[in-house]
Amino acid sequence: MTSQCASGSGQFLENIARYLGVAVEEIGRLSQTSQNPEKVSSICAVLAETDVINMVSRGIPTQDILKGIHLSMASRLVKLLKVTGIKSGTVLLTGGLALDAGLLAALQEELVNEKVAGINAVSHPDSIYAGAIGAALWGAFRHDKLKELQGRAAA
Amino acid sequence: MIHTIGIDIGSGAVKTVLFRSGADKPQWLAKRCERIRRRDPMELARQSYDEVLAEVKLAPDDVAYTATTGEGENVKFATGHFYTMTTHARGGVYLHPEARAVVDIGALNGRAPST
Repeated sequence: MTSQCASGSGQFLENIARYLGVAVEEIGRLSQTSQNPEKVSSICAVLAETDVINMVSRGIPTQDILKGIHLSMASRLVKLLKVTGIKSGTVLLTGGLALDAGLLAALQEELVNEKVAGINAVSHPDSIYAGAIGAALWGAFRHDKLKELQGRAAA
Repeated sequence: MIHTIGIDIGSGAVKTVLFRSGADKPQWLAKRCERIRRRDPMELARQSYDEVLAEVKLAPDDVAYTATTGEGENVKFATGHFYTMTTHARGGVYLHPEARAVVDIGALNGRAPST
């Protein structure tokens, strides 16, 4: 999948889950039971959906389809991580998909496949709030700085 | 000691948190996460803002800074806006102090800021 569009993100996975008749909360657990993942070959979400429809008609089990999508997304995320230049240490998943255990497992697998096994990908129960937490903490920092500057200007 | 609110408007959900900051480690007092589901994100931001304040029995005047991130540039009652990369990196380090990078997987995007 490409890094340019939404093909590897939450909304796409939600659409596929709806098509497969799987609840969003079930995706992670099902994906982890897959024995023979079927990789999605398309580079775009629209074509990937067609791929999934073909898989369903070929009788591929739901868990193998979901794991295939997770692996495609994970390989895209590993490429993103490589750009940061980090080769070891802890990397935190944030955003709505951070709680998808299937994606986390697929990401660990892809990190090993892509020979960046030094990176340890982890999630946090409150991962979805990371952006809001950062904004609140930067807000406090900026408030203190502004006060300091005002104090200096008055003096 | 000051209170600050962070509002992260994403493509799938609006996340709001309330913090108390001072000399010690910041204290996380309240949080809200609302899926947008074809509603107006600005309305949801306002609603979540009121709810977190009500939860800890504070008034808008008690909040020193209301910071937005994500697609929250146009939130009228905000004090300032921060870029997504910096807020996710900062939030990631708060949740997991050893984290060296953050992989943000949103509803319509993916990004990986290093901390």
